[in-house]
Amino acid sequence: MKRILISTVILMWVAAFMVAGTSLAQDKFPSKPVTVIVPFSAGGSTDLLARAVEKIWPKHSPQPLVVVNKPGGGGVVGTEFVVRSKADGYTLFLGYGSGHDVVMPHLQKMPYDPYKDLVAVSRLSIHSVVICTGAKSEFNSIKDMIAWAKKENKPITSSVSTKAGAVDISITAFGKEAGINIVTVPFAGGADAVTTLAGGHVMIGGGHPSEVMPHIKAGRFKPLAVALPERDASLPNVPTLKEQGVNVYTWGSIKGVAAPAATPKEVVDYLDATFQKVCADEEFKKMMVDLDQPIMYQDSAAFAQFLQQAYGDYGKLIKDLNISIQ
Amino acid sequence: MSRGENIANLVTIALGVFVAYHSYHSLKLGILISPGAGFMPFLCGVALMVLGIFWRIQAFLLKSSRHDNCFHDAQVVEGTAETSAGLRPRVKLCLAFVTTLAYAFLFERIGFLLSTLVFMLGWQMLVERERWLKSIIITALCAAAMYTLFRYLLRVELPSNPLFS
Amino acid sequence: MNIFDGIISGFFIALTPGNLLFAFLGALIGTAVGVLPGLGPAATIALLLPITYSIPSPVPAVIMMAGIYYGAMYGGSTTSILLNLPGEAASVVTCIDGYKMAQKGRAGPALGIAAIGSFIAGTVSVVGLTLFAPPIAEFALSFGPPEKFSLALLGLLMAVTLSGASVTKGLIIMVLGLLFGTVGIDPISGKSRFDFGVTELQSGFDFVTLAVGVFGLGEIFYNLEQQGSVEIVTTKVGQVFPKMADWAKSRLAILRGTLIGFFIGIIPGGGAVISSLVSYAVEKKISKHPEEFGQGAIEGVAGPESANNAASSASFIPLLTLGIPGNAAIAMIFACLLIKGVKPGPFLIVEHPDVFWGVIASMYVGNIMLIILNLPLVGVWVQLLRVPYGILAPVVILFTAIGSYSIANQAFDLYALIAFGVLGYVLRKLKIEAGPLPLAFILGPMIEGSMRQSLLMSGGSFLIFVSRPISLTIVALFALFVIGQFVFAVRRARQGPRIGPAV
Repeated sequence: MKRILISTVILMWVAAFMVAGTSLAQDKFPSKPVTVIVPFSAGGSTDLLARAVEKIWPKHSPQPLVVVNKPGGGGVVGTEFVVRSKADGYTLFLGYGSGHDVVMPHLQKMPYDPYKDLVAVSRLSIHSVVICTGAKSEFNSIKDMIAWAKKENKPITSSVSTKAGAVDISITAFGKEAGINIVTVPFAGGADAVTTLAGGHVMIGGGHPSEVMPHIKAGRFKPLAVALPERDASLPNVPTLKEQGVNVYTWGSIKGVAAPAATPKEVVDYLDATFQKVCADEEFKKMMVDLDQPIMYQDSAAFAQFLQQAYGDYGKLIKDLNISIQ
Repeated sequence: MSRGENIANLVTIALGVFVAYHSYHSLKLGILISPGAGFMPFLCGVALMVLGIFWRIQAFLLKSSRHDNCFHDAQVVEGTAETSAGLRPRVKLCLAFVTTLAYAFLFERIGFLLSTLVFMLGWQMLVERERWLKSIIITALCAAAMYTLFRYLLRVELPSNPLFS
Repeated sequence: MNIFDGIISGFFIALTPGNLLFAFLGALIGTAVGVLPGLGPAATIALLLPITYSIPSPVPAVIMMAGIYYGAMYGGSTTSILLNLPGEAASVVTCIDGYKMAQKGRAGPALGIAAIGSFIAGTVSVVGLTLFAPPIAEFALSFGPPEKFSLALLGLLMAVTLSGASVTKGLIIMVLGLLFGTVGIDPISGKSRFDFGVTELQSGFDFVTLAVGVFGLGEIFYNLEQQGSVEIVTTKVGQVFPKMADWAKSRLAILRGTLIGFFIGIIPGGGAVISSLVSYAVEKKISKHPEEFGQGAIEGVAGPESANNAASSASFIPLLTLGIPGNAAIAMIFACLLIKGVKPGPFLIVEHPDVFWGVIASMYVGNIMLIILNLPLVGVWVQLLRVPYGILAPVVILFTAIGSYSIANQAFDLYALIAFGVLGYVLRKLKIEAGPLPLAFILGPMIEGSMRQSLLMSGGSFLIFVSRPISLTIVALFALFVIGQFVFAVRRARQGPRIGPAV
């Protein structure tokens, strides 16, 4: 008898715990914190953007944003996680439009379709590709570099963040268009690549403004060009490749927010509107200036269209340049 | 070479062959300026083959240079440990393995709390052969402690029961 | 502001009640995180980052996070010694002799020496940080791919010293570890290797899952098969603290470990792992009784533990002076600073001297707090081992499983953990030392990646590894080591075959 009593008490206690673990009925969105997955490692430019948004978000929404890093597979692991999560608007992907969305699908099979399985929510920023060289380098401009390469007939080594990522493609495209031989050396991410350039181990390097600005300010780097169609707002003094006679541009790494494709429209609209408010927030603007990242907001529809165009542009570039993962 | 060592040795060599072949064919070795994805695995595969053969040769040399009794003794001692204890330790290990495997299987399917309960209960009753009341008490306490620690104190994301949410 | 003014002002900042509380909190959380396998300091700092947003000043936030970071280093050695469970790469080497010491009833002295060594190493390297930060940081930058290759290769060579009796088997385990390291997407070519169509394998195996599976789970499976009750603490727990003899043996090991860890730790990347390896190898080589290593030599705990703590303190140098984070946990601290508008880098000391000196001073304070926290805990931990194995074993399995799962939230990691456990069990049965496996797993990608990067840089020429001064030095050390081994082996063979016990 005593045994049965004790067992029942314990089982009830256990049952109570189980009930405590369940979620309550849904209210108006958002009724609990929204998780934002960043498929890159902490401290990188995308992660910093996400955390800046995370800080400002509670000013414009009743529930906070929670940033979670899920690096791996060049961004695929984290993105796939979002694709497979519940389409209720509580799991978002920040970094939509990065290399693994606009470049990778042209080169290898993906476990999901970045355009069918995800819906574009908002564009936040564009991380362009800036080509830099060490301060002690003899190159002072793109023209110098091209002239040297053609005279010496030796390859130019360049550090890039990952193989066949946005930076790699941009620099390879530049090399081919300029008619010089550039050997891109891939590293384990942007920080690694930029650090190697800082050590003077490669001749030039490609990176995003937030990665290279600290070194430029410290006098370690000389920016040679930016690979956008027009100058980057965070680096107004750096000319584009086009201005210097090399007619090639890429969109760099686009940073936007996405949700699983089946997410209800009202939820997407709410998120989009809130991101717009965040981008207009004065404190956010100041943080982005500190981070050397330009704010380039675009709403859901425009962003989706822009992505299609960028994806197509990269596809054309890859085909013209005959780039592949050999 | 004991039976276990023999198997391990053959597995090593076989693995080496497989890896070397796969690296050569699928992953490509590349050229010297730019070694391909298969370069390193190929070297590893070859190394495994060579080392495996070396291991076998060493064991052979050791066997022939020793007096047969010594070698036999080592094997016999190992054998005694296994046979005198009976099957119980082996069974215990198998049950532990199966229980852990069940935990992995159930973890995402029925949620963290339930699978932990099942695991702990199963362990106490099957592996440790405890009385059912003591098992339940231990299970409940451990599960509650772990739940509190991971869910509330550390805020780790763990799967909840899909039947409830 | 010169160094002394800076340090004094730093102490004023660090010793305010608020900041002291943050330092203590960080140390506490860090120790807990280090003890729990799978939960690393990086993940914890990431979790706590949003809490720091509401604190206006960056100083308390960074103080707390720094506390978590090296607190985890202290805690990681605890499970390594007690349960053969390494919390992270740098603690693997500690398992080897530390766990053996625990099995002989000497868990207390092992834990104690680990704590003391860590304290001395941490404090000394913070002093080094204070005095030599900027030039050392520049030195760290000069480590490019060829240097990283040579250094990682040196580390791998050192790992062979962990192989126990049979070098052949040790090499096989090492190669196996290298192979495990190739699974996943190859960063240089972009190709996915050995994934057999399984998506989860594309990011490769996780180090914690591998190490904890092979060492910890393997040990548990092996113990379960033993007849009779398993007692980890076989003798009465009398001596909980290290004896004077232990201290005498260890103090030079601690000193050497500190120096090794400090210099190697500055290099971003595998600093802590390689330094613990090099320290172990050095101690074994220098020792007058090398056969004790692998059986519970206290120098085998003191040296590597000091090395990895010195390395983790040293890894702050590139962050504070150059703005380059060396590993995942430091990257989180880096992110926190940036979010608060503080740019780590060469201007940090000028623009935000309070952050710079405040953090450094808090590291002194933090080290003191940790030794105060950890030494009394040694007794507690050892008592924990008296829990009946029937309860201890499944609880440990649960902890490791949850820890493994929490890394990527996929059930696959649980299966991988069990598979590695089986591998660990098999190795134990065959009496093969598993030490080189996780270390080769970590070093392999470094070696391969750096080699291919170097070849791309040099246009295919292998000369790049010897034409650069630092790389040349490391290669020379490597060659010296190998030649030394060879000479030693030849000399031993000349002495003739020895009639001794069976291998």
